Amino acid sequence: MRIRLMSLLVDDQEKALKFYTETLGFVKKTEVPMGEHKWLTVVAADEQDGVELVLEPLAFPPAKTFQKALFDAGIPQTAFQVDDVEEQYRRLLDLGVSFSVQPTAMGPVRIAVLDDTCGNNIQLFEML
Amino acid sequence: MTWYSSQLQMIREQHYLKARTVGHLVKAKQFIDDRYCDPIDLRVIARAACLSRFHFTRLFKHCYGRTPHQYLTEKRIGLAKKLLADGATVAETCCRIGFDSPNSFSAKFRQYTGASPSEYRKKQYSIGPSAENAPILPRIKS
Repeated sequence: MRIRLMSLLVDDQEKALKFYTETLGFVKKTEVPMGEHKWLTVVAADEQDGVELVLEPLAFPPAKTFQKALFDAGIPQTAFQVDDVEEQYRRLLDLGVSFSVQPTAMGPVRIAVLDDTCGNNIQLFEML
Repeated sequence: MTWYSSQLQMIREQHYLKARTVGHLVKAKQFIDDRYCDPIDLRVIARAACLSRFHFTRLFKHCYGRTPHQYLTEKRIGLAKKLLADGATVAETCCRIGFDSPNSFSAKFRQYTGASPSEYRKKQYSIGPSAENAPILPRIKS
């Protein structure tokens, strides 16, 4: 048994694909049409055989309520590791990304939290 | 301030070690990152952190969620996987990652990967090279 997929609910798959590839820098791995929606995954550019992030359509109404509650509370849906939080923070700010938590030291970790524009807060973390 | 931000602030104030102590532990972790192929042990690592062995082990586990020995072993096994996938023999790999004996290396490798080094090597060859197996090797002292 292995962990190969991680799901993230997004309010618009096309918008999400654009943000996760063009802004965050991930690479599209699979795109399988399934009627109104699609099976859509992205991977880290330097770990293309690694865990796939599934950009899941947010079609189930109760999930929208749950996602909004988390977003409004500032709670990240998931976290991505980076080599340098400060550097990514500056790069993404320049690209117009908004952050609810600026780079902050938490013990041996440095974190920041961004808005993915698809209904989620995403935490970036750097292990010191 | 969001609920999450307030929780972060509370956790930082109440549960994390002081910045100076974290600094010592980060330094020790970086020492492991730089030297994990060398025959380093807990005594050497603790000295790099300017802490006693017992105190260092306790603080490192508090900070990183695993003991320094576990972290060192993870680093070594991670490199062993890359070396084996890149075609190194089990004996070469054992020697290059700082293990004392092939037996202890094989046992530890199986514990962390579920396969013996030779089984892992054979499997990597059968599935061919992949990005995961690309030879990205750190400095190794001879």
